Amino acid sequence: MRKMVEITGLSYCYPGQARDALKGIDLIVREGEFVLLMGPSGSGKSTLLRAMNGAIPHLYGGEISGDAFIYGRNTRKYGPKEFADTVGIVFQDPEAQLVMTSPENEVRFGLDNLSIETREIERRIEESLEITNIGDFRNRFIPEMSGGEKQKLALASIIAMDTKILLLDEPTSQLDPKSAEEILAILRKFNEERGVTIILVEHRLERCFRFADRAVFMEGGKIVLDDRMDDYIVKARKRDDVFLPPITYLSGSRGNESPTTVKTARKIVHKALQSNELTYKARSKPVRTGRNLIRLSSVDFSYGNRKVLSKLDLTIREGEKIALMGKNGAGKSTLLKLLNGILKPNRGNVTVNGMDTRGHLTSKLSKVCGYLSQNPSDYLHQKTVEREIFLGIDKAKVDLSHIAWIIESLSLEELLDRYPRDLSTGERERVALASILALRPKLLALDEPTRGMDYTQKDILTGMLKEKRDGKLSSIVATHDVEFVTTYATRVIILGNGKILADGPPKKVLPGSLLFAPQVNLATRAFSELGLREDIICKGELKWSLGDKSPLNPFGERTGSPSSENPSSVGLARKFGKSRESPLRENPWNFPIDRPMGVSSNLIVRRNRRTKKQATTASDRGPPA
Amino acid sequence: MIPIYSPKDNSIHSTSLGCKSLYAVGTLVSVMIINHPVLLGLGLLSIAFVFWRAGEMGNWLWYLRIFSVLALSYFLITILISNQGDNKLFWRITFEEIVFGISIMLKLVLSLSVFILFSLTVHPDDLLRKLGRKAVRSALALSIAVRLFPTLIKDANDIYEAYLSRGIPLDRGNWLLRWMSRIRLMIPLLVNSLERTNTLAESMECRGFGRPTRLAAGGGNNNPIYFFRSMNPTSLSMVAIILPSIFMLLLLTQMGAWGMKSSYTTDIGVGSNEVVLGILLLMVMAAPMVSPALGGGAD
Repeated sequence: MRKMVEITGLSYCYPGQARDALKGIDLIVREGEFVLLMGPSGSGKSTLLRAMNGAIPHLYGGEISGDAFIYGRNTRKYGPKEFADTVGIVFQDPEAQLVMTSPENEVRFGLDNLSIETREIERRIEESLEITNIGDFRNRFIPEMSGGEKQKLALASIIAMDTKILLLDEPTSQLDPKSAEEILAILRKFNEERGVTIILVEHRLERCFRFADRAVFMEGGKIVLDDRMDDYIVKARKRDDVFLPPITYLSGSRGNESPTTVKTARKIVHKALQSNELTYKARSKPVRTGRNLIRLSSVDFSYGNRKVLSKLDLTIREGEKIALMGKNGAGKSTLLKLLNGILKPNRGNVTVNGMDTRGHLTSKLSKVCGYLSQNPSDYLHQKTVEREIFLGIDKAKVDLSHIAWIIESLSLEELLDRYPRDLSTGERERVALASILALRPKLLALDEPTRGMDYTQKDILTGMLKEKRDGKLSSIVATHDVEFVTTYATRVIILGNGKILADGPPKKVLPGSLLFAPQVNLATRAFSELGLREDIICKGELKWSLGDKSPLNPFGERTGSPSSENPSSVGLARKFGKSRESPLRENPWNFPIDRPMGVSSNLIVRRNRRTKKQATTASDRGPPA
Repeated sequence: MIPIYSPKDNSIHSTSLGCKSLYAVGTLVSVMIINHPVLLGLGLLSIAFVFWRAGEMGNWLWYLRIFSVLALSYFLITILISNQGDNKLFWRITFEEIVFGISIMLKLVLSLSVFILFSLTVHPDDLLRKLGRKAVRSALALSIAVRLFPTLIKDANDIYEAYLSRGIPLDRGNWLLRWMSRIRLMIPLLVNSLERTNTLAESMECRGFGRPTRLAAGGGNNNPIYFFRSMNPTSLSMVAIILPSIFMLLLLTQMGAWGMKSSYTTDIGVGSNEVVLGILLLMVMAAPMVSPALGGGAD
């Protein structure tokens, strides 16, 4: 097969940056391959994609060494517009890449640039819009389209150009499972039937792992693993710093089969059950909740003539961890905005800690209910991460131990002096979250916080939200990330048609859902007659009978696969020094305020100043109110 | 939110760009030469009718609220600084000055309304297609501006909400303080917009924008980079363009005397001549817009 991408010794450094974003990359991608490019947030995946169409260095500048040949042409010589007929790229945010005002003209834009014949253009417009299921919207006004429709349009405008290589940078991160499935199905079709070479960057591996035939894992600007999928899984299990989707952990007691699809996982589980190697292990703990924090009664809300929420009743209690799910446009973000008074209901009442949102300012309600929107960049306008965190809090009353806890919990120590807009999406998300947490709200309302986050960061987020340090911190998270929900939530609410369609514990709501059932549940729920419960939603609920050989998850718990090698997750826990509970369980309230943490000098100075002034330490204070 | 173009399925929206352009030019010329406040009032009525037919009445009224402040200020300044006419009403204000002030006010509202109508009913991509290669970059810039305007408004709103969510009291105080506090949003909005512009520029280049035609794939040839869907005018749309033009000529012939009439006329009575002229004006201004058949629809 012809080499579509040939990269040799490629190193690259963005202008003004001290650290190389890419370090000695060697990569060959052949015609018709479907490559899944993975790695932690900020590991250089997006940079590598941009180096594959000449955007780096032509649009970004910087220092580059080594060569990248795309379809035989060197990116040093040719820029992205010259590669436009060979390489198509779809970015994470469709909003930022659509140029025209109607879908038809959006698709036409690229084709006109390629000087394709008018009749051919008409055919391609028709076909690409039909393939992506947006043919009916061809004359709609793009700003009025939903996020999913815009992402499909972005894909349609690229596939219409009939390029030989498709580069996709987290194209499904903002989509609900159904829309994401549609996008990935289109990609698979193009790969299998038309032989298009696809390089896909994605964090939600459970969505796309089965489609790929090769995995490339990056870390710190280097390629750490590069293998066919089966080999990758085997090697990934031996390493402690690479990612695998949860389904691959259902690999049976012999550990010689690694499922990448629910279908194969089901077969393995069936075999294991027949040989009594697999049993159910109860994990659920009773959820303790406090008093009512937020109450919505008969809430109606509309944007103009479009009704979004209708007669909605909801109560949120202290200590609850709620996952808010539903398809794109179901009203999840609207509901979150109603909680802290950004939006006021058309009818009905929203009371936050006893205060009606109609009669109180949002800036005041935010001290009770902190809201983080889908786009963390909206929160980041200061010169450094540290200044972002301190913005909005009363410096006279700031509890530096709390700030230090946030910084450590979200692994922001090394980012404190960085310009927030230079950070990756996942890092931005963590900084924005820190800025909200600094206000010490009683309830956190987070809108798609796992977007752009890798598995490790999701685990950190989960640990932080479940942490008991800040009293009975409640949280409500609007998300499409089913696997995140299985580890985080104590309650799941599914919204649809402006109403609550389901509300209950994850083990009740998720297994019955056609759209939101986790992969582990899909693989196990058919075996109730063999002793497995139908409501298993995460791999930790399965116990393999070969004793200690099962792998550990990031928190040091046995998860099921009996591979004797140390699986990935142990190292993750070790590497990031985080555990879901352990360090914080050992020392939940007594964070040592003078402990060197690598926080910036300013913070340490301020912290010390305050420490001297108060002549007390956080450990003396006990749990914060 | 500031009203901007959004597609609608009605006769005004589907009328060809040529008709809309002619209508806009015709109305602007009429506004320039007519000083009679009654006729200008009729013109305002006729354009209101067109807005109603276009389903843009609400948006027009939104803009009118802003224009009315401007127009009233203009009216007050006019009657205060001019010193014309003999029919004194009170203090130093004369009847002629008031009539002139009203005319100026109506002219201003009419002129701005024409531009609003054009921007609310003309698809920017149509403009791009029509201008073709001659002004492709300007037209493309316009198209992108229209495309990104709602995004910009949304960004401003999102940043405002983000500030509130961080407990920054931008919502405190009276309306003036609240508006003043929004100035803080300008820099973040600018930073956001620059970042978005960067990504958009990258996206455009990645799709071959500015690409030399010699590199064209798929049997590329020497066609111009932009040759958007050709717009061959149909016979109906030609009629729709020519007919109003004849009316316009007629009107201009008739208007000669009116155009030269003193600005400070004391005779603002409405006689048969004015009625005929008013009807003619209404027809000219509304004819191409009210009938889909005449408008010819999209080319």
